[in-house]
Amino acid sequence: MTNYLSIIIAAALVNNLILIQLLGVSSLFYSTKRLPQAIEFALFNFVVLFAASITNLFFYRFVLIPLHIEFLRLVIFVGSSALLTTTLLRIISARLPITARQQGLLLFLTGGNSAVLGATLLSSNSILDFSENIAQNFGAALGYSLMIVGFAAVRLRLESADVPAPFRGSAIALITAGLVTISLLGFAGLT
Amino acid sequence: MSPLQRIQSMLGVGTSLSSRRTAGGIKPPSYKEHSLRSRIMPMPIPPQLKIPVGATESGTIALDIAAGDHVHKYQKLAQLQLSAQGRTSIPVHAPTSGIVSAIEEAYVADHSQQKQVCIVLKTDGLDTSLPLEPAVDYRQLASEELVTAIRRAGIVGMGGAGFPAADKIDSAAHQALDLLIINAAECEPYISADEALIRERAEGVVTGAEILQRASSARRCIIAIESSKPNAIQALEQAIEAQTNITGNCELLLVPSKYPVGSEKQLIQSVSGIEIPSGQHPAQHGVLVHNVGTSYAVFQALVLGRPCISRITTLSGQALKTPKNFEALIGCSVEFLFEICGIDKSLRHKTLLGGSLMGLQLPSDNAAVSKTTNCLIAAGSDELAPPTEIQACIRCGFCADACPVRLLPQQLLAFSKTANNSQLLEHGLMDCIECGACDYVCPSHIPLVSIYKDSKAAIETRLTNHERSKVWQQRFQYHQSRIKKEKDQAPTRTKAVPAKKPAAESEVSASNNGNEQEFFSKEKASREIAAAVARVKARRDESKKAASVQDKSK
Amino acid sequence: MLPLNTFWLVQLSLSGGLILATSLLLLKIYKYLCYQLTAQKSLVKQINRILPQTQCGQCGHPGCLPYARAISEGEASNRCPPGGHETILELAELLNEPVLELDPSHGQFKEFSVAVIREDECIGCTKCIQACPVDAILGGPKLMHTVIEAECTGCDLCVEPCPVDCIDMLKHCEDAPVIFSKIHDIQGARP
Repeated sequence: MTNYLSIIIAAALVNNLILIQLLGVSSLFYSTKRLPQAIEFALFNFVVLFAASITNLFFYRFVLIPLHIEFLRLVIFVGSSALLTTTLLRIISARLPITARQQGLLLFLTGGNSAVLGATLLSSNSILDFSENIAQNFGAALGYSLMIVGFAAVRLRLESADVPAPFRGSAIALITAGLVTISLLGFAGLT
Repeated sequence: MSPLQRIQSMLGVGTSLSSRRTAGGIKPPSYKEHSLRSRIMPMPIPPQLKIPVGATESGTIALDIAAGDHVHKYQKLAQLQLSAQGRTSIPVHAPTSGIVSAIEEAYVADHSQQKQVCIVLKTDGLDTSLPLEPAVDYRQLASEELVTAIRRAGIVGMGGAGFPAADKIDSAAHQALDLLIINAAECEPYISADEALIRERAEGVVTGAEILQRASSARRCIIAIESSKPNAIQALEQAIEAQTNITGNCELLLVPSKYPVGSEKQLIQSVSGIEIPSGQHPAQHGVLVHNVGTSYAVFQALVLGRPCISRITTLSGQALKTPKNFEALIGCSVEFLFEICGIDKSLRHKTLLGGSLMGLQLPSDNAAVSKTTNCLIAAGSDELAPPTEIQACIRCGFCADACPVRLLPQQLLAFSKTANNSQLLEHGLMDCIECGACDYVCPSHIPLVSIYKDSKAAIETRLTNHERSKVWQQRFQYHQSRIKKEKDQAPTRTKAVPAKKPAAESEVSASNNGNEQEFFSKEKASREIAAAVARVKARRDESKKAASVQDKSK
Repeated sequence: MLPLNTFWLVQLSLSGGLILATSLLLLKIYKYLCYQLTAQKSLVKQINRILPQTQCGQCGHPGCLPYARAISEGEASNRCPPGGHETILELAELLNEPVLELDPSHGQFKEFSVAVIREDECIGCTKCIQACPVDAILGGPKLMHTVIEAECTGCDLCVEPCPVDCIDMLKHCEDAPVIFSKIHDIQGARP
């Protein structure tokens, strides 16, 4: 059990998808500064990231490897994650009118996002077994949504901060992201 | 109270009656000693009084007198029927005898900062008074009768709120009141009116407290005073002792001397440990707070039979030769009081109403003293906080430590700058009591309170706009449904109209006399319309001509 | 690590169960969030709440509700002059869009004012009554009309149709003379 826990923590914080692996960094800067909405986004992303990477992994382990067609993995991964995203999006747009308004943004945040692909590629290359891989993906998705929520708060703070003129806008956001990355590196001693 | 008990209550240990710790607070220098040097002075009758009745927006004013009438001291002049609460009214009485010369709008020294309706009284200097109502034994009266008597005397909250005292008691009438607190914690710098009042008239204050306790049927009555006022404490102890020998059961509690312990919710917390939640009234928690000034006015009304025509007002500041406390007649001008204290106008930098931290600048020096004018400061140029350069917030966090409501002032400042109303509301801006403690401690001299006041005003206008737009939205929906209905009924109506018309006309001619008929007659109407159309045509032609002339000149 | 071929059924069922459980949990959280965030409020209603409800039609729609509907379907949210910058800000925050400047082709921001009819010049044509979107004008054919000040939205729509130009838009706060007349009333009404 501790093994799984340490895998989750390592994937969420130490090898954080956005800040350490630099996968899907753009989602940080297109996300909202309203906290409730950010939580909404984060949960949606969590579902997509976790579900898509597990499905991909499943295909990889139980279809591609036995049939010896690993070279097709990139195509399969892209196809299956895009399919999943659009399906989820359809379910959600019926329920959440406001989110529906931002469908384009959400599509950008999830489907076109390199994070899903990156996460699956990383876990498909790893030496962990299947259930450990699930834990790893869970952690990765957790870390990803954590950063989206955290950055909504940072953006709210940045809005009222007295930033020197040359650094305003995405410059200060990138600097802040860098600082958060450094602080995340501090977790490296955990595992 | 023995010395040991006093120490214990100051430390908050030992006795059952001890003050609790409250959040935040500051200890500014008090500057009260100047005005406390002399006794309370009775006031010479000024040549003219402007007795404030109230703002026209706050209610309906019913006058008992007219311009030119001669009135006696204590005579009822008018009353303000508050519109918010249908049945309450605040009567106003004549402070001295004289002739009513006018009824006009003038500035009043209170927190409204707006012009109010005032009765201008030319005094005759004779001070002839109506016979006072014979004093009744308040111990024999029921609580309702006491409340009525308090209302008749026109007593409002003397601490500065100006809310009718009788209403305050009434609002708590259906609740089982546990505690009545008499607020003698006058914590703001410069203000010494309450301390002077207690020092010299403690018996009255204690008797008034007992009456208030009977009127509100509270189980306990505690007079809360700051531990830094030894003379007043001594006077109160003696008065309470004398009172306890007869009937009363008032208790004395020392609260720590820090600002703003005298603010209502902070005082309740300090005395009883109850923290009144945001948006709730103390009465909901079985607590009621009255000012000592109110308590003394109640004593005057019930025991001496005298309505509220004067109040103790502190006059202080560097521009005055002799700062002191006055028993000021309601309606005398601020300038008149300053003159008696020997004001040096060249020294005066600004005039403040209230203490140095929450005080407001008076809109006019001729403002009239109202029932809530507790302190007037003629400040010298280097007095108060001299205006210094505002610097950037350095996030020191002193303001959060000083805030008695435990808000986060620097966070509020950041959100105020970006006008982020939803975040401001979430961070409790509306609970800010505007005490100025954060201003006082801020090392960057940021005028936090005035920024918060602006934000509060902006939020309030936004909210009223919302309310207004709701009404409009409803009206728009009515309008649309009406149009739809009319469209649906259109075919039937066109048929019905010719049949109805003659009947309607005959009705008109039958019910109206000749004059009105002429007014409504078609010919006259069409004549008028033709005239109006011709007028507009002429005007349009003229403007066209003017335009063409301009073009030509170009 | 277990050999894939022998124990794959066990692994599959284990990880499948884990995925199912996590997804169910996430769905529960998400449903709760849906309820919390939108609380049965549709997007149109939320937009309509922010719009100033002057019903002036300067946005090109007959009233605020139709415009709210149009915004929810993707129209630009910067076409409401009476709402001013504040409305645009709030809408941008709600919809998570960049803040735009007021579209000048739809008019300029003006301070709130109410329509006042110069009553001696009114000819009683009822044209303004028909134009008023909130039925705030009182009067009959060939009788003098007047505006109910408390219900006037300041929409300007009655000014144009008036054939004799007798409607002025006045600032709301010019009621000082009213107060004085009140005082005289008080003096006159005494016993």
